[in-house]
Amino acid sequence: MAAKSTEELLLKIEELENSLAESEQLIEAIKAGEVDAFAVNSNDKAEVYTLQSGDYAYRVLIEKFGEGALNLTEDGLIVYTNTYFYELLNLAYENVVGSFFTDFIDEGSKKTFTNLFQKSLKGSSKGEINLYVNEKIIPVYISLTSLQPKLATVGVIITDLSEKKKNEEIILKYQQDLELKNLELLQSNNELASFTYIASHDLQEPLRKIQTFSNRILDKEDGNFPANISDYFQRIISASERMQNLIVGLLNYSRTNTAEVIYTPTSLNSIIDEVKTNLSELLEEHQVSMEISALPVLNIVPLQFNQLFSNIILNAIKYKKQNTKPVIKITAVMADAAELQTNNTAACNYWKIKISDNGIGFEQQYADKIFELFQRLHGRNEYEGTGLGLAICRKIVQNHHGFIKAEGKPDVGATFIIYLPSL
Amino acid sequence: MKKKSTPELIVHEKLTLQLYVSGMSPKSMEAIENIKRLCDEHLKEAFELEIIDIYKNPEVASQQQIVFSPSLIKSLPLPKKTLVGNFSDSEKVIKGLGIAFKK
Repeated sequence: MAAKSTEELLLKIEELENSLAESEQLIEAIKAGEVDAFAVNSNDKAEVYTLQSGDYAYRVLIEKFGEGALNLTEDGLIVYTNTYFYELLNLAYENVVGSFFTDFIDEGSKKTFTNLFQKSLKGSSKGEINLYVNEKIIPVYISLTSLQPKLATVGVIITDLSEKKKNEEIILKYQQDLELKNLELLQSNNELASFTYIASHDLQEPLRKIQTFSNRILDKEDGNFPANISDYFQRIISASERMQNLIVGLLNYSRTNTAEVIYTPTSLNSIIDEVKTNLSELLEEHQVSMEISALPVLNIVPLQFNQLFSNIILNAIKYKKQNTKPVIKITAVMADAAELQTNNTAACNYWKIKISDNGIGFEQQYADKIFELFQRLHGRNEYEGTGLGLAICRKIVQNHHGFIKAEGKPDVGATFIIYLPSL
Repeated sequence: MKKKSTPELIVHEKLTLQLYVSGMSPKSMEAIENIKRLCDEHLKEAFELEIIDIYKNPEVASQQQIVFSPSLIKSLPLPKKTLVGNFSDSEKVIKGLGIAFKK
């Protein structure tokens, strides 16, 4: 046997010292309780042993968690329940453990549960069922997992769906209310359409008769009447003309609601050109000058926009300053997000179209009133009109998901600002 | 060869470490936190840490006969070192791993 050299021995000693130090540290740690568990290889099989402290967190998690946790045997017997579950059922612990889970399931859900449970015995399953305890139905979502082969049980996690179901019911009710309102609206629209038809024929017919025969009387007998009788007939005729205008105006207003509308991308400049052509005689007569900037292309109903611009331009002419040539300016810019306040719910860009004139203007305090039906700021003797023009304008702008507002300065002029969503 | 990583420690080579834990046990969770902090503060890039859960992988015992949890094993560079405990004392851990502090 060869003697080992000193060097080799010293090396060996160092090795042993290290090993010893490690073992000592290990024993110290175990004595100090710093070990939770260990895995040992015995007979080629790995076993894990847990010391007392190692389980603590699992216990706390399952016992205290805000979800139900159960262990069921293969026959569905509850052999473990955590606090949350029996509190969810509003029962005492001893009334839950040792009972069959199916005792707490609503009749209508029993079949679903049987399927879920059978499925879980081979792996896992999840689904919604209703529990039924003390005449109360509790909707829950359950997740089942077989814990074989480690444990001869099926683990179940239970989530309470009551809050969610309540919200679903509220949404359903809103939906139903909405559908009802839609139906009512449809009916309303249909009735309005009928009214429109009636108005256009049945109301105007008697009016025409009044006008026709009043005119005939005047034509035939004019020379024979005393002055005041002629006057009375004149008044009858102009009153019926006014009424006719009103009916036509109302028809227009209601048509902006009910007519079949087709939106197509249209250049606003082309609409203005059309309006200028339609009103060319009027524009020439009053020597109106129009300054039109480049206007955008928007998704609109061309006929309605023709009416919109016509009404505003007609107003500008009607309310011109005496002995002043009307100047109408139309411009368009992208609207600043800050200008669009509370009414803007859509997340898109808006165009800001301004139509301003140099007419008699109006007091800013009436800026909202002028858009109302039949509102007029001047007497019939000063300016004629039905008081519908701007109401129609507002309706048209609303139909296109936009806003219209007015700014006026007495004796300076009026500006109409129309916001419209861009393409 | 990796050069030293921090002003504090002399580390010539990258450390290969295995941390053995046992699921949700309180010491396991503490050990993970402590070792991570230790590595981030002192070893910076000069380490490779693998965390193994003996509940999920009990067969690791077959390689080592017995594996305690929590325990930290430095497999590289040699010599191999094994430490057991929750590793709350960084200095003790560093010393136990055989790493020297720069003076």
